[in-house]
Amino acid sequence: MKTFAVHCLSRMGFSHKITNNSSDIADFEALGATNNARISAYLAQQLNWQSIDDNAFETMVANANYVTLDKPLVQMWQDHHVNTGAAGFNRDAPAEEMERLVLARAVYSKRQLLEVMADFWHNHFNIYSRSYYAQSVFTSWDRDVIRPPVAGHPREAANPDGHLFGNFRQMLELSSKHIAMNYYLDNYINDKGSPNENYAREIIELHTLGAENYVSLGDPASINKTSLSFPWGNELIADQYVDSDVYAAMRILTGWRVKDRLGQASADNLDTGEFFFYAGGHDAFAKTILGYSWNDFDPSPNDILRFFDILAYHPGTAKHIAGKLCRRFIGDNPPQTIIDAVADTFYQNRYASNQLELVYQTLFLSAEFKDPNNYGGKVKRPLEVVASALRVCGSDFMPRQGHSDTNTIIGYFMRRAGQRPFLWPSPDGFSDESEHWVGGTVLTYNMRFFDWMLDQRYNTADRIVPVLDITLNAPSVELPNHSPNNLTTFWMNRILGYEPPGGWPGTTLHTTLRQFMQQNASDPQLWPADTPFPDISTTSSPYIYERLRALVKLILTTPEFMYR
Amino acid sequence: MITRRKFLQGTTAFFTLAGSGITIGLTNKKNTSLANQKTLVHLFFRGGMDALNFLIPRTGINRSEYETKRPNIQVPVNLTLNLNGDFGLPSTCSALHQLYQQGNMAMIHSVGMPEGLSSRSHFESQAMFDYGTPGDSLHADGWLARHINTSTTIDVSDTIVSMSSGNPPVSHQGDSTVLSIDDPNSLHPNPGRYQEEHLATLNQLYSGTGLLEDAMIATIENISIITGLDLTIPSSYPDEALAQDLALIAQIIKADLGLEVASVDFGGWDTHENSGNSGTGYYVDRLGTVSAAIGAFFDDLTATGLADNVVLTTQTDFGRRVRQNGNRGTDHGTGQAMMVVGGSINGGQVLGTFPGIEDADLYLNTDLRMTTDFRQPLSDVVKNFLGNPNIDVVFPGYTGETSIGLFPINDTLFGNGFE
Repeated sequence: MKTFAVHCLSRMGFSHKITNNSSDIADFEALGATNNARISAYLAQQLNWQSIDDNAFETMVANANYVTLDKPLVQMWQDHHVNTGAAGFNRDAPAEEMERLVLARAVYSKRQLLEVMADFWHNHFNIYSRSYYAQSVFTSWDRDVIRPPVAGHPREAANPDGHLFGNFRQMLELSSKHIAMNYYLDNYINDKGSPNENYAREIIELHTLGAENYVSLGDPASINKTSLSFPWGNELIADQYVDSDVYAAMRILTGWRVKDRLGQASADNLDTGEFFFYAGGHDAFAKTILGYSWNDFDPSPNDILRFFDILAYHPGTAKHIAGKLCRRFIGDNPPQTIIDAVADTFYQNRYASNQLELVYQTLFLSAEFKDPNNYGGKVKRPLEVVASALRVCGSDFMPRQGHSDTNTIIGYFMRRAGQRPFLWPSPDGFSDESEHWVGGTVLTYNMRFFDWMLDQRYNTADRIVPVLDITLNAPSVELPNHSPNNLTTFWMNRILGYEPPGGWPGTTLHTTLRQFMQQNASDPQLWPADTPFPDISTTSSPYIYERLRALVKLILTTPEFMYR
Repeated sequence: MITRRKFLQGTTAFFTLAGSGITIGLTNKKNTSLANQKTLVHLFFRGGMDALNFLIPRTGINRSEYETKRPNIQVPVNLTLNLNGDFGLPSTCSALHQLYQQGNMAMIHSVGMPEGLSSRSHFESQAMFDYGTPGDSLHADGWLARHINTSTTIDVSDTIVSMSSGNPPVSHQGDSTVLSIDDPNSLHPNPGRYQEEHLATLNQLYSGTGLLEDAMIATIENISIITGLDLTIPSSYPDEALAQDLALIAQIIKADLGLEVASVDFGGWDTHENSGNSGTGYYVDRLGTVSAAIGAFFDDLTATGLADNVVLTTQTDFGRRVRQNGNRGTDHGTGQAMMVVGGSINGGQVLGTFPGIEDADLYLNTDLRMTTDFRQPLSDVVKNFLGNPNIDVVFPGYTGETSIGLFPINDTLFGNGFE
């Protein structure tokens, strides 16, 4: 049974990280006298992300030759789309950097909750990173829509709190205005003369109300309506949506596009990549959506903004997003009680600048999150597998462009396992259901990654993970000597992050692993369990170093580690 | 190196293993007999393969228009291998020509998506073909996945139900059985001195029950089976990527692991420039590579009596423009030539309708017009070869289903003209 600390760190981050000098599990335990006190303090700390000292990681980023992270959108578009070709100006450089940065942040940033929430919201507003426009602006999409604003890159005045710790309504509007989304779901060509319903359907089905609130081919007159309050007053709004609502949404969203010099009025004939409302392409006639009507001819985008309000402030959206958060952070089949509680917080605070912080508080401070029955109930996805394995084995390389090991991890192992970052083509995002991640290829390439991670240049200073150094330099209280028993216990504690009452020795799991460690490639006799190996670094017979690496691979592959 | 016998003697704890499942290289999880297993090999030519210099007009107005529109990149009639009189293959394709003459290869004219739904973008068009959804390049699952998921003749617990050589194309998206294999020796989680002990220990670690536990046990067993196979590639195959990929697939078919679908990608077709002239040069040489690879594949299967159980279909992003461009190449177009190979097909014919290449015949004034919906021949294969009647799921929204004549239809419903 995982401890509460390990549970929290593997749900609210990419697993714990213990080195020979530090332990975030110990840090977590020190936050209070009870689990309630610890989780409250830890959540407060992680929500206050700017107060977490992440200088060490930021220095790693600064030294890794990332070139697009600080470019304003217009410059990024200029460099990587309009004037592409010069050195460092590749069309897909922003996408290439983003997929590497995601791995780097997951492994090394101390702002772990920020990173798992970025993963959640990227997945919610999924964009295929090789989409033609998106590839050239992907680091802007991450910085300017998903994550909280950083110095030098403020949000637009109307939506200062649109980000993963802020307000959903504002985030929704920012996502709709960003060229990556606007292009990916084809709204850039949604024009009153030649409408395109792609974005209209997905913004309702995936981003807000969700398919659970869809009545296929339903008659709008037969859908129950409820009085809901909006900033401008109370309205009778349909509880669920039907196809005619999608067609209305398509008409509403016409003209909501970007400056890419395609088919626009000459006065706006610019190619800057910025958002642009083209009144000439907007359908200004009367429309009805979810029972709400615009009866007057209006060429302004007021209907679009009010449409976002209706979606974002709808209780169905609160339920949809609450369900996704609970399935991600609590279990594949979360109790309805916690979905309702999270949805209630989402809805009651729908105008708040810190709406999503409050939502996360309800989620993580709930009895359901703390319920030991929910520990370890999710199968790790490949990003979580890779990041957590690198964390517990103490990697110290920086993922970056032009680094062949990074390319191997992302382009070979993660891609084969089915989760190269941002490489999910359709807008529903990578599945968050455990069942999706237990296919033979997924598991095979997860295990192949462990094998590669441990064996790649293992005997050089340029190894991927310093398993030998960690073992040799381990504090004697953790590893008194190099017997099979002690080596097994030490690496189980490091990788799993906990031990049962009385410790691992004597458990079936420990015995199985210890017996593996006792085997000898050249001798049928087992090495005695409590006799130290004379030299664990030897690469010749009896091949103890090879066995030690295999032991680590096996502990990484245990169900105890592969479930989070 | 420790032998398995030694290892088992080494500790009583491991003896239980022998009874609990893992018998390396001996278990063969397969519930249907080899004689009944049908396999589709789907070969996708990434890049957009030109149709007119593959299925070449040899006579009449088609020939004269071809010579007019391709003054510098045409294949002379005397360097074509005659198929049906009116069309022929380039002379580099002797193995394919022989398959055609033996009745084991058919070609189909001008295959594509319904007009208005096709795309000249590599990404969009490949996505739509791979998803099997014309007009929708962001679908949730691929057509091969939908076949795997709806066929009632497949046992998904077979060792390798579907595979791709290399990263699975999105045609497999949603198919949890797909295994990427380019080197069967590259799947082991710890190759080396302790590889057998490693799998045995994993088996013990996963002795519990649960979603991951069950899946991991199956995966470990499959890895041990595949790792234990002798998949030596016969020397009859050319030493080149496509031939080697097909060779591995043939060995896996012969190993009888339940293989239903295998995907292969082979690129190098985006011939915007210098594609060759006078029946020689890059493009026809590339086709020669394809021809030799498929020929070796078919011979290998024939030698083991399996040629009737395998069908190979081909597809590409799009055909290319009818007129050559300014760089002695061709740009992205529409209608493509499709090839079907197999011992059980009605081969030796060129199916479909050639749309003509006079100016007035061309789609958008430039392209070979689509005359056969790609879903028609693929439905024929799915239904009448693989035995999956769920065409409405495999190709959602496709209503034009009728056999294009690739297979003898025994079903009396068809014989009575029910369709």
